[in-house]
Amino acid sequence: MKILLINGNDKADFLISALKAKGHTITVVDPDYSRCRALADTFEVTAFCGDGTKEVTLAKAGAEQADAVVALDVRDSVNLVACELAKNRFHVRLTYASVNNPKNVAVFKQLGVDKCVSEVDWIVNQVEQDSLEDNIKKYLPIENGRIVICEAVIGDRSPALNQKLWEIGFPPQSIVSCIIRGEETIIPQGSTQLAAGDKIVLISSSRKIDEALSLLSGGKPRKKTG
Amino acid sequence: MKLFHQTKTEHIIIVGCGLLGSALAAGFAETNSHVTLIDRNRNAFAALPDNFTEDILAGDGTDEEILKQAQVQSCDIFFAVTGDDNTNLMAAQVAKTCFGVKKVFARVDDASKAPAYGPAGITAVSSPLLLCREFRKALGEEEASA
Repeated sequence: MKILLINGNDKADFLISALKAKGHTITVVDPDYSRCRALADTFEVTAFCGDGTKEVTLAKAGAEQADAVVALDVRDSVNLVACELAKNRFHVRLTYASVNNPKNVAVFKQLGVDKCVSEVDWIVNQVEQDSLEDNIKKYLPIENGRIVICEAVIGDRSPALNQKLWEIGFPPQSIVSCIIRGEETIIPQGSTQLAAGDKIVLISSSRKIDEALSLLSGGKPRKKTG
Repeated sequence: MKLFHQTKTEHIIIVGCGLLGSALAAGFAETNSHVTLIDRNRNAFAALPDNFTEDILAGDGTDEEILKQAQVQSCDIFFAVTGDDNTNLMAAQVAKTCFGVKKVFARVDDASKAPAYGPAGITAVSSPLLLCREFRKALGEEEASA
């Protein structure tokens, strides 16, 4: 993909090398001339010095041919305007914005930015993931955390041990999508009985995930917002 | 709201209390309007005239929470007039799209950015363009009288 990176600051370095390694073509737009030079020299990418929220700059940087625009400024307003410009004026298919104020994620989506990444939200999710019970191995938020997929292991003391799925009484908006038992993968039915060591792949809305997990782990559901 | 502002007809929110924002606010305060002025910098309100009694709010005018505090839901006219085009465009869009404010105006000094926001219902005005027009008008008058 041809990717336009706007106002990368210090984040740009890592992102450029990571994206280049995946075979993408990167063009950098940054208002700071010396940073443009440094990035161009270090990573052998095309760099344009200018304001990424201006039509002329984006035109020069080849926004017309770009598949994606990634706006990384520390100011949300800059990222919003850059993405809107890319989308509306240059018909860039994918726009990604880094969002500093997590409250703006919803706003950006409403205004047509395709993907928003809030570092604060991400860290909160990570902490959340680490603070969950030990027997929950993986926790994958999707749709900005509205839905989560997670993997839980049935331990010896799990209240769900030897129970049939229908007996556990999962909350609505949560479903056991798959059970991994050793080498075997089971697409479960209500009558499937859980055994110790089973890995449960659970899909749930983020509101119900704690309740669903507590049924598997035995812990009390923690309060969680959003 | 109506209880406390029975004589006030329109609720106007102004984001940005610089020269433009404070002049706008002072102007509307003299009419029968209820004005809420928002600026990120509390010191900016010092520019207001001493007899200014309308609401002031220190905070980020692009932040939904701050706008809610300013009662944007009942707002009739919204002005985004900070010195930063992108801030103005974002604040204006939040007011328009998220809160459905009827009349939304944004100061957008870079005239090339303005047209994209017309279809969204935001009136974007470029101050360099206005100055150009005024200068030319003044020049025309001078030449006519010479």
